[in-house]
Amino acid sequence: MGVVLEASEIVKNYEISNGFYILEVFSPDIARSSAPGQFIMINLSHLHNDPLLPRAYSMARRTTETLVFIYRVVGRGTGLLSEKRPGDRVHVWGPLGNGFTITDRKAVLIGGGTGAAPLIDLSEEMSRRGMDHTLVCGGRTAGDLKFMDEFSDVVKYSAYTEDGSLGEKGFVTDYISNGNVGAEAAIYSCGPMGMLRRVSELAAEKGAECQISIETPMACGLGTCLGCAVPKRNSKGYYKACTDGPVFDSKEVVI
Amino acid sequence: MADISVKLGALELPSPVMAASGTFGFGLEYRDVLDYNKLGAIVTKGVSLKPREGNPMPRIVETPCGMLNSIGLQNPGVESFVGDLLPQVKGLGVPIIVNVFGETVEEYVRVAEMIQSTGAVAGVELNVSCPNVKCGGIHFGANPEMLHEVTKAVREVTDLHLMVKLSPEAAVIEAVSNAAEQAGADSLSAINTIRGMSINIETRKPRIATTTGGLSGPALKPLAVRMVWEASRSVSIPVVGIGGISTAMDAIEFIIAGASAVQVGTANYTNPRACEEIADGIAVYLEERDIPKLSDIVGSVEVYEDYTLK
Ligand SMILES: Cc1cc2nc3c(=O)[nH]c(=O)nc-3n(C[C@H](O)[C@H](O)[C@H](O)COP(=O)(O)OP(=O)(O)OC[C@H]3O[C@@H](n4cnc5c(N)ncnc54)[C@H](O)[C@@H]3O)c2cc1C
Ligand SMILES: Cc1cc2nc3c(=O)[nH]c(=O)nc-3n(C[C@H](O)[C@H](O)[C@H](O)COP(=O)(O)O)c2cc1C
Ligand code: FES
Repeated sequence: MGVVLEASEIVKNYEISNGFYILEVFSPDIARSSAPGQFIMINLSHLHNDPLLPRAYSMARRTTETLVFIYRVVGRGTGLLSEKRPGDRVHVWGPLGNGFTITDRKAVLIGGGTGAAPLIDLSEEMSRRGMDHTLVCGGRTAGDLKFMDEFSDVVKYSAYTEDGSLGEKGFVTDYISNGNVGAEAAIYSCGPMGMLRRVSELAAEKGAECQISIETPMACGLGTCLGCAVPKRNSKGYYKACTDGPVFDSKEVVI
Repeated sequence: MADISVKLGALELPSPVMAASGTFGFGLEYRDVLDYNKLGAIVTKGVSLKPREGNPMPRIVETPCGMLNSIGLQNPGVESFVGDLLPQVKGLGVPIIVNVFGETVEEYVRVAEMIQSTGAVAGVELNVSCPNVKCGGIHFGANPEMLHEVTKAVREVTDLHLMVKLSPEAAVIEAVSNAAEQAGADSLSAINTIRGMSINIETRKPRIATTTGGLSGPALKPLAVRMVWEASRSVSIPVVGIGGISTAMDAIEFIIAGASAVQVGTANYTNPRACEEIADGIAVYLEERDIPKLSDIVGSVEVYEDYTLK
């Protein structure tokens, strides 16, 4: 179907906890044609010029008619987004990017913060295919993972919190270092850069396959601005996060 | 429908709205979302003699009503452009203008020669105004003598439409405009980005890896309108307006200032259908005011009679 550009209606947009929000937009065409790990661009200020650039969001769930996102209010863009009400329209385009490649290996999904979003979608897809897999999500504190409850009908997960208020105490990457993941595994991960670096290192140590979804600055999402460059590890030059990624084999990029 | 086709010298374009260099890739990326029949031309990303990797990250940052970029002219080089991309791009049915970049006069000439020999493009736009590279670019565009030299050298090897893209960093816009015209340019395009800077006050690091980056978007518009006005008054070749155009009204403003056509850049990022909406909006503007053709309003600004500075 290709990329769809439309003014989509917001169905839901509400705070869960600690500035984490759930956003649901009506977009059957994108919902139908997308896959886990893909993303869309949302322009919050169509023709208003400030904040100028669209923002990228990974789908956390795709129903038959809608797309569900998880975001955290951290700046002007998300501040504006949090003020949108059901019935408001936002300009969106997608699906964009490559998404995850599901392999036969034992799947371990590692998410940090809102990085859990594409992994929820991936977990749901794996369940649909009858694939055994483990989803592990990390946050600072229990409230930072409250959004996971919204998806509890379809995804089961283990929690890691830095303060121990939910699940295991520690970092989500401890799940890998504590001997739960070996060379037979395929890791699928999304989260802050520091976390992805650690996940990549640990995957290399264990000899596990590892796909990481990377967030870079983006202006277009379509491959034209070249603002989303990700350095190649094995040769000179850059990948484009928006069209070659956002999901990369951790051995092929420098992050 | 009002007639929005335009003539830039001998070059006839179906619409006055072109996609600006660096904001439309090589033309293939917007096929799903945009009606290409509404485009006057596609100006490609800058093409150089050798492939260029581009600058390190971060390369872009949002600023009030604008953005800074320092891409560093990442491109696959002219050979790959001609061999791999052009065969696809020419199938789009839209006139192609190739943005040409070099570090030396010789490089500009060699790229232009290769583009000329393809027989598949409508024109070249000389990028003598890129602020994000160490050699070339703005070094040519800010200096009338060097601009004359490079324009003349390229003119000698091509009969394609030759557009020279001006930099807002030239001290006297009239001087560079005249230099380009006298050297044989068929049109001028104005403007490229102007260097800006943004700093993270927590880390005290610039938000762009190369410290400064080119400012584009609506924040640039009043500066660009002024330069188009100045340039169009000092030459008799057509001027193409660029800088912060995101609506038809923005485009009309440039045309009234003296632009014969426009290029849309950053707005392609914020609204992938921008070029189409702007072309449609221009037609509506003309119809609503019973203006038969766009050229009737080019340069029609009515400056105050005693406008000269005292
Ligand atoms: C492929 C992809 C998927 C993403 N998925 C999600 C998601 O599911 N949930 C979520 O909350 N966020 C996600 N992001 C980040 C999101 O696009 C916004 O950048 C982030 O929400 C910043 O919010 P803001 O607009 O309030 O920040 P502002 O402070 O207003 O942002 C200023 C500028 O910095 C950029 N920026 C800030 N933070 C980031 C970041 N982490 N990554 C890239 N650019 C950034 C913004 O895009 C903007 O151009 C994703 C980014 C990418 C590239
Ligand atoms: C990310 C980016 C890349 C650009 N690359 C080029 C380029 O390769 N060659 C060029 O002549 N201009 C380039 N430009 C400048 C634009 O073509 C245009 O002159 C400028 O952005 C002002 O117009 P705008 O405000 O509509 O974007 C680039 C601009 C941006 C934002
Ligand atoms: S976001 Fe523009 S090229 Fe990737």
